[in-house]
Amino acid sequence: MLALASLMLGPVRLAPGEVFAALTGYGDDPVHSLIVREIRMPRMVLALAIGAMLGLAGAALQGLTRNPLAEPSLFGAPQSAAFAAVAMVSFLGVDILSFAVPVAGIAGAFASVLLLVLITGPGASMLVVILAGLAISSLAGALTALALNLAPNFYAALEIAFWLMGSLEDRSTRHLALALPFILVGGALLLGQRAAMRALTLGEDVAASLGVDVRLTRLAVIAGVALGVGAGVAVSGAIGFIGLVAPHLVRPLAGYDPARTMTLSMPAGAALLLAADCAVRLAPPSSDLKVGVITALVGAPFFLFLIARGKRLLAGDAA
Amino acid sequence: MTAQGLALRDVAVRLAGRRVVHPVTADLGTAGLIALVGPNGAGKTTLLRAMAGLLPHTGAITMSGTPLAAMTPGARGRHIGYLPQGHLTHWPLPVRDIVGLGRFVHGAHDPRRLSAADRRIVDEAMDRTGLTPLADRPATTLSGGERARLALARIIAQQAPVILADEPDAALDPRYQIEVMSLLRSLAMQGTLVVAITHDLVHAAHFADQVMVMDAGYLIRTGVPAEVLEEALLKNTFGIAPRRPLDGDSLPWVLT
Repeated sequence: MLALASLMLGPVRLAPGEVFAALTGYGDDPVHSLIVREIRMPRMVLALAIGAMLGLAGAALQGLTRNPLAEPSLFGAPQSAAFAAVAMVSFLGVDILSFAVPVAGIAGAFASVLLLVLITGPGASMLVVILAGLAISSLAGALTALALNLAPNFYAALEIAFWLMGSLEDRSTRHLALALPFILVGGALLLGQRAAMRALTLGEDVAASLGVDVRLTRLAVIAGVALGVGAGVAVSGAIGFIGLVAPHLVRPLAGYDPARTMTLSMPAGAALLLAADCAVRLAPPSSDLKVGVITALVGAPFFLFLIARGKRLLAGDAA
Repeated sequence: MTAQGLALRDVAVRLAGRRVVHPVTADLGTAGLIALVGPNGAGKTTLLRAMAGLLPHTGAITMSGTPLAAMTPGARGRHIGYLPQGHLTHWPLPVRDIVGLGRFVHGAHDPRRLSAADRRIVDEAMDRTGLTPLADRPATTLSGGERARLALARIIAQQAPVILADEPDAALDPRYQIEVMSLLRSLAMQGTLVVAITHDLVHAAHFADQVMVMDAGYLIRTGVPAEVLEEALLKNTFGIAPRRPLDGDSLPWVLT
């Protein structure tokens, strides 16, 4: 349903029949075919892939840290990806939709993971890793602000600011081709840790005594999040809240099983981002609303609602 | 000749450059309940965690001659079950799922899709710990005593020949303390080697086959409770003076 809607909506509104015709190649209108296949299709697939990745990453991190507040930005990879991308635009004068931006973003995400692992060393406690991640994300945030500050001109600064809000507008199959492999590898890395996540519900010590290599799990999760979310951010800019909200949405459905929560968070995240992206296109074109703004606007109050409703359960969890 | 069961040879642990456990050599055997006692900071938990393979150490820990270090993490999990102190679970998973995680080391990674054999073992473990009526309750809603029994049920389902338990009787009321120790005692009678840290010397004397006493990182005494827990040791190691109960009850001492 959402996928169909996302193919229908836009400056040129299409009827379901027209979308179908354009997709199957039997349409009489080459413009419609072009719009659906070249513009809306990649945008839809990107929304699905990035949304699924964000949801999965959030669920994996919440499982790993056993903290329901964890989200993909916890270890600073998305922020580092954003900084690297922004630096390209600001310092090197690269166009914001150019191919170099996502490449730099992915490199930035990688660099942040490397830094995190180098600083914390092997066998560091989760607390140390989280603190280091926090410091790295603050640093990346500050550097992004600096890049914005030093932008060559007003328009570049505005472009960067808009890009940072997160958007799937005007992304082509090339962007999709660049991000998708990383998202698939990152997603596979995370999904491979599902069994370990179950053992981790009993804490790191018991998980280790049950034969789980906790260090390897942690590394796989951090690397998977950096790869998948880093690539996503590099293409779409920062899209918040989906990684935080999607796992909470599906957790009761999964019976609080961390592995099932991870699996179900993928369709949930994909649907959330696609819905937000459709909502953006329903707004008048002149407003130029960004999808990242929508996810935060809808996500934050929704999260408050979840907290209010689940207060008792959360309190029981803490006890 | 290789020692049967669990054996420690010069096992020592350094944490942050400080030697927390000085070389320990001991044959713990294949079955029985061993109480590991000692003042706070004596190195009991550190030694237990090293035995569970959770801490780097020097020296050798062997299971029937095979060094733990040579085992895969999974094989170690089938040999040694570890019961940490305190916090049990972070998500409101049903009791049955937590007990089912005991089968993790036997390849059952999904507690909701257990084989018939695994499910029977889980059911037995819940039955033995009186958790069957609570099977579908979220673990986070259990009382302290119920949680202690849940932790025990999980480790019973794991079916490891060695159980290492860190203060399984801590923070429980007297009835549950006795219940937990009795359960460990019955596991020991059925051929499991149980090493349990406890601060309750009366329980150590009452339930354990052997007592190991640690002080300041050294294993200072090992033996049957009646011989080890004598007046001088209690005074020198624990700083307490024992008093014999007047009526010659089965509990050897009242501690004052």
